[in-house]
Amino acid sequence: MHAKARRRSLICFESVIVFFVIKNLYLQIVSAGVPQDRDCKPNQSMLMEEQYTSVDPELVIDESCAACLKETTNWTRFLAVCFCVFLGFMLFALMGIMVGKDLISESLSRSASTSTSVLLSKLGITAVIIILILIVCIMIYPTILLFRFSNNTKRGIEYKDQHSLENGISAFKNYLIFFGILGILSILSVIIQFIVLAL
Amino acid sequence: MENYTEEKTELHMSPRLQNDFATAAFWARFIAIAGMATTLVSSLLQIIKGVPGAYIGAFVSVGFSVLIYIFLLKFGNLVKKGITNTDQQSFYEGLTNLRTYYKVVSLLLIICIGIGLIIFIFAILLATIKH
Repeated sequence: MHAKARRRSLICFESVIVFFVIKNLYLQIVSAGVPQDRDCKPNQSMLMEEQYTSVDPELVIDESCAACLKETTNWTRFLAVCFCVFLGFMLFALMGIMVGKDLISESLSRSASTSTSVLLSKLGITAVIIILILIVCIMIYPTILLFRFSNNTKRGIEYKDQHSLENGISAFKNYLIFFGILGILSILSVIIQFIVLAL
Repeated sequence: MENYTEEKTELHMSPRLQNDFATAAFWARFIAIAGMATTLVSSLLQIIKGVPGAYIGAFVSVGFSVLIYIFLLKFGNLVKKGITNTDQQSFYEGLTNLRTYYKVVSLLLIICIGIGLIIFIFAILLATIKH
């Protein structure tokens, strides 16, 4: 009885947190959408447009900012290399499982007692292969973007090349958008878990 | 190489760069808030389910996520402030936070790889001794 009450209170607490998180995200999305809504509200949009599109003489990529960005690119390059190594290991594991698929299923079917468990073990191997392929496919894009950000931004800062710097920051923006979408998916999965548990 | 050195001019904040930084700041804030909230809620779910060691796990995961995402959140806020108010100091501080974020993530990754390698070596040694 006591445990049930505690569980209920925890679920209530969690629902309050989820509500506030969703509210916060909604407010952020709404506030970010304001500058894009230029045709509807001319007065506000004019102000926002000025803020975003005018070349402001005051805001520059000075030496300190450039040094900061350059150091960031060193760390991001390291991360990109780690991602590459991780992808290589995944591909290795994938190839190993694909090559030894029959061997693994054979050894599993020996230990399995019923035909249902044999079928389940075969399905499990297929599921592992699909999950590995999905992870590899998902991870390739951000790795490329991180490399592009590191290389282009570093080149832009070293040679004072505006175009390279712009390309690098654009790649970084796309990298963050990609992980933002993954974040939305993870929020959805947590909400689904929460609903399943509450039911 | 010569072409680049001849064309050396100061880097400026073009409209494209400004828009990209603004979008990156927005998504950085989003990722930080979503990451912290997801970690918190999934830790609570583990506690509700009664998974053994869930309290310690929740404490560690929430602590690490706050440690990591706080820099990303600061980057987002400060860069947005810098672009909106044309405040060079805020913009610079935002970039400093981005550098710290990637430094922390990379150091944590190095620590994880180190621990993994130690476990791997110990497992091999243990298997060799047993045989």
